[in-house]
Amino acid sequence: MSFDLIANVVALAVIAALGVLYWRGRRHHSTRPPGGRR
Amino acid sequence: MHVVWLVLDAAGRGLRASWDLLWASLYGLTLGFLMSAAVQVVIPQRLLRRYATGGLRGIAVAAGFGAISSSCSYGPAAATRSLYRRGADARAAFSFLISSTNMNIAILVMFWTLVGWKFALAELAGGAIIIAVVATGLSVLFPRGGLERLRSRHELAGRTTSNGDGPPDGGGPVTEDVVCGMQGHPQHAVTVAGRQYWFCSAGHAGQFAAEPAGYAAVPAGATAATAAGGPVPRPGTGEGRPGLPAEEQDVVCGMTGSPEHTVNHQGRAYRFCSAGCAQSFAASPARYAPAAPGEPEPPRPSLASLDTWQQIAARAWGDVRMLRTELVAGYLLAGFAEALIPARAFGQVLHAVGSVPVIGYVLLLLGLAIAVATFVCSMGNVPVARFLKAAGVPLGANITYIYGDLLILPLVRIYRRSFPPRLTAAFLALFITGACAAGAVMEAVTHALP
Repeated sequence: MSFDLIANVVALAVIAALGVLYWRGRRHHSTRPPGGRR
Repeated sequence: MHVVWLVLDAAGRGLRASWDLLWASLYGLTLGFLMSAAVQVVIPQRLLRRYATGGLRGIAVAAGFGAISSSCSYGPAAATRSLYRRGADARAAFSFLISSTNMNIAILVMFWTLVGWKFALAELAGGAIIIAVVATGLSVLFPRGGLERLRSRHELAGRTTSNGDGPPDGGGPVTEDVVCGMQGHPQHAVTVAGRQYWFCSAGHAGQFAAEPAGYAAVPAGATAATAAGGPVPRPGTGEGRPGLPAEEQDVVCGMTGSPEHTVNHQGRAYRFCSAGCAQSFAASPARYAPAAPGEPEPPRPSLASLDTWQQIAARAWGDVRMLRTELVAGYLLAGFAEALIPARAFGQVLHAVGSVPVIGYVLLLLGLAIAVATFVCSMGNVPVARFLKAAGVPLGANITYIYGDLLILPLVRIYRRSFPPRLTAAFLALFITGACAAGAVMEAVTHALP
């Protein structure tokens, strides 16, 4: 396997992990928008 | 039918080449954004304000912060404006700006993976040369406190007229984003002292709401109220919060707190938007509770905490969103150019033109002119630089094209609105001189390298 392929597979895994973290953080913080209005 | 087929074939080849470029640089891009986001979260930018003085140390610290800041030229341009407004020395502020696009880790990693280590080196060392030229030039042009006098006169003019940064006469909303100078949107509106300010993004609205006097001619200490759907503050930091009354604001995420989720700390009741935020606060109150004057700074975020990684993910995603247009434009431009322009013919023309000695130097200026014309900034330029290299453009002219992303017209507009006119003119002239000098020096240095 080439270096590019391995590095990019790792990069895609990192992107997925960051996506999950971002989504979890956003879900938690979007329970109440600023100003108390939805 | 034949023409349609030709167009489809060209589009297919262009998209394929763009995808190949993206695939060749995906890990560099990911690593760059991740590293940049991590250091932005772990090292708070308020430290920069403290150290951004005019001496050599201040200029070096500012350059260091530029290297770890967001790599989109618009973000650092807004940060430079804010730094200058808050009293940072002009030389340190410009050092931060230049470093943020030329010595930035995310861009350097991408250069290394996509164009080669010589380019990464030329980008890094060239940035240092431009900073040296700009800082020395400003010291020579404005000696013995000249820069400070210029700032005082500019501030005085800003207070007596609403020209430039202040809101226009009349009671209508300020539709131009006063943080970055772009067109604002009513969706991201903030009201200060009875006037509505529109912003291009929730991030800029939050930035403004945290310190309105830093961006517009409003009474000192004026507080901001946000419109519905307004700024979404950055979680976990004390920055970017809209000016809600302290007792109602969730100090963890900046949103409105509810009496249902209250935590008492050192005789004061803190309200939170949710049980999750209340738990985060209870676990580490010193980190979130506003420090009284004289109290020690809150501890730095730990990379072992999930909360820190959520902030890193949010910051990285924010940077990608800010840069998405530039990245897409850069990859498509480079991909289509690679697929459709015969690189050998392009190279032969350049070789013939560049062999005339004087024209070699004109090429450096041409590099800057192309950068201004394309409007693509920072990371979007990297794939284009790869194409230019393959087409035989000399490294000096190619790297000058990269330096030129700080001269694109929307940014020049921000400079004009942020700094005194004489300072803006001096900076632009010194930057062009520095960029051409750095291009010529790097061309010679990289020739001498193996």
